[in-house]
Amino acid sequence: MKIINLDIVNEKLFYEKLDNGLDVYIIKKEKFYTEEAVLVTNFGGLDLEFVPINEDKMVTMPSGIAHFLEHKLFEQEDGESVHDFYNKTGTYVNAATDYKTTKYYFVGVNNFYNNLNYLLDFVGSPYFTDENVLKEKGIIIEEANMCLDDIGRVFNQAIYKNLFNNIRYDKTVIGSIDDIKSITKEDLYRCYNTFYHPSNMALFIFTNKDELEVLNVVKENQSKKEYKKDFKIQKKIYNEDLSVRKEYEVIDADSRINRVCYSFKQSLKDYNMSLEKVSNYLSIMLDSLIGSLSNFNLELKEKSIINGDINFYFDKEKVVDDIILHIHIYASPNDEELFIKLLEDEFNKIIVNEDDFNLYKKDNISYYNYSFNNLNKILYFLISKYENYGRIDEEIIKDELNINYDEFKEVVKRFNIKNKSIVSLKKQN
Amino acid sequence: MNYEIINEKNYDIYLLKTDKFKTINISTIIINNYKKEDITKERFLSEYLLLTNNKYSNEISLNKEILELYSPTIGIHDTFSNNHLKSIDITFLNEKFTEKGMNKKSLEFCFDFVFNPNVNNDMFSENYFNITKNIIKNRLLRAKEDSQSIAFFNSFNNFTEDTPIKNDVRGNLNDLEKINNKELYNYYINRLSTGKYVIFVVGEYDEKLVLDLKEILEKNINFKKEYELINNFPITKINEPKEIIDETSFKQSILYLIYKTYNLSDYEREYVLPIFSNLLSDRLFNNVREKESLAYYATSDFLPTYNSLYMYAGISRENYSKCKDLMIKELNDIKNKEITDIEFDKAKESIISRMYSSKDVIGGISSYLIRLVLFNKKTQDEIIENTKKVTKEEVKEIVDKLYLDVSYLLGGIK
Repeated sequence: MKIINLDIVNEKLFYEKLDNGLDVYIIKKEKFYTEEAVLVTNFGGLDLEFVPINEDKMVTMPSGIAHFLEHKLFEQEDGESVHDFYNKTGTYVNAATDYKTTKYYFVGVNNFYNNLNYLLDFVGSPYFTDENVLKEKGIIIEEANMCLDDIGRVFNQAIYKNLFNNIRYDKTVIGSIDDIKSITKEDLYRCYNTFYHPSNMALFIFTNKDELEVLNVVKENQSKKEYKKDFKIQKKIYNEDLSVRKEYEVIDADSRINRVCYSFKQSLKDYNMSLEKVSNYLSIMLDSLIGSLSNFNLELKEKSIINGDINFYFDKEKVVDDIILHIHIYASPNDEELFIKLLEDEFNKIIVNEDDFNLYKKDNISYYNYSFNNLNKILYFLISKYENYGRIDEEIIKDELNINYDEFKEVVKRFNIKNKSIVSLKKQN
Repeated sequence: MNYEIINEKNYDIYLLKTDKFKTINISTIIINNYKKEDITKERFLSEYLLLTNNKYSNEISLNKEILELYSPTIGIHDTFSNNHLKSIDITFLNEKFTEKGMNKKSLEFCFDFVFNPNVNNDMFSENYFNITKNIIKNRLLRAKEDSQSIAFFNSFNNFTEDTPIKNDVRGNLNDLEKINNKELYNYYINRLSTGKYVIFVVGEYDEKLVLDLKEILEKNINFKKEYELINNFPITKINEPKEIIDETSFKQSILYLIYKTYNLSDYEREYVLPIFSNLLSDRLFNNVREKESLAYYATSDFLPTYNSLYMYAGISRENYSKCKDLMIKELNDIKNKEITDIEFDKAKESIISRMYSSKDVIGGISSYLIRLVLFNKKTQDEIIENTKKVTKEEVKEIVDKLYLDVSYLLGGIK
């Protein structure tokens, strides 16, 4: 077992890659009652085109299949539902699917080893029948209707759809009603058998028990399961470039406020720096420029050009030979045209002084400390690192904490907003 | 729950020491009476006070100071019961893990939000007054898009007891438009001088921190007033149930069934009702969602202070009657059908686990301490012990004390 030293928070993270490929991360806190485990598979709403295991041709699945699969894994052949098993001991169990992953988790204060084994077992034993697939469709269609009433979600879908040409952001995680209706048990098995292979998964554990003992429980559980060896998932890697599908769109929804999102794409190659560093520096730059430390944000509020703060968010996509970073800036403008003009002017004269930059060094320390001090944050802090970088190690932490003003200036110099897409949502009277 | 009490002439401090966390949490609660039309004003004040103060007259300098202090989290929250509680909460890293002197600076920083607002000529800063107004207006407009909260507030607005649960605690646009800067400032000054101050400290505090805290409080508070906080609004009447259907353009309908819990003993309200609600939620999940596929969510919750239990579900419009009948049947079946050992244990264990988990979060410890001190509620350990004692018969008996008061449908498109 490898120990990853998190000196900044005086904690140790235990890590091992099992023989079957499963990544296991364990963090121990003796004084806590609550224990938690999250099993992550790298299969989400975007993964619609792939070569199923034991086949040789690329197939296309209906949208929403990863989410449908998440629902169906809660049904067990022996009749006892997963919820029933966990609830008996007051343990909370749930799952969530996003565009890139599906996560199954439990949180509880007793029966930890049984809970852990059960998590690995229920996610490891699919049971799909025509009847239980049909039954689930009614539930998921209700969930889809609920999502359609969420204006924020509808807005975000348009933003992602317009920014990408090939990556399947034209589809939603939950899927269209027609696609949900078309899903079969055979589709589910093909996806399950391909993506729920331990080499495509990671297990994160927060426990008050001895880490070696916990690891041995996981190892013993996994040793009883058989998986195809040397299996490599072939999913479509998109040839996405920096161009956008649509530069401007006004979408129609029953909104009470104006919304605008200004998004743009960046190539990691252009920065000649690690993803960890570029992500960190871009975050600092955006916060200084349009976020909590910016005159720009304040002035726009003072002049009532916008209502409330500007917010931003960024993510990344792996494409052929590169990683595309995409940045989204959200505001509720009273004058959209003026907001966009001023925002673009601001991006053309980026200045962040060194004193302000140095404040973020403290912020990084705080961020780690708060994350490791809060039961609800620790595992998701670690999972976000895993999702962003595909691994967690001392190198990543070093890159996040040891920020350097000269490197930052280099990132600022290379930053551009050439490849942009704007989505607007006007308030209805 | 072991805690220390400091009763001073003008304020009270409750301190609970724990070395489980790297942070220290301080909640300053100002208790005052209020009128319904003050709700929007209080929301406005909470927003304004957090944006700026006399020391940090714009949010950039304020946000820089937050970074200097290792990013404490600060929030102001309002609770409107029979009285109003404004809670100013700060959680900061103990200086043991940052730099010496940070505890005192964090304390001062926090209390500047309360006692040292950004004021010119007996008015709040005009600039930030307007910014705050825009923020609140946007928030209230956005709330009109949120079907979940619309359904909750509309249904409880029809509750037939005249208690604070009928209030829309988000505030409203009409009251917002009436807020005048000068009047609001006078209102604020008046609130400061009529409130009762209770301070709760949780974490690994030391003597120095307590002395620093007292010094700040002594400087700013020079009176003490008592307020009674009610933790039980009894049911006064039982009516025929009201049925309300609001037609909307949402795609999904949301059904609320609100019950009065009549004549419950304290023991039933505190320990039996939570088990009842848990068990009911479990059955709604299994039968409305899993067996009948009628809803993505169908669950129950309860408000013991207001003697209310409610069920709600997101459904298709055409399933309204079927779903309503089934949910009512599930509630009655708690009495009519056997409660299995497994489902009974599940309901109890869920509550007990939640109590233990609340001890793993500094805000959870603080919240139970506040409930105990201000509302005479039970500690986590009392809830754990008494939950274990509840019998199935006691749970079944609750059904006879439940009366459907409001059936509300936020009607989606047909």
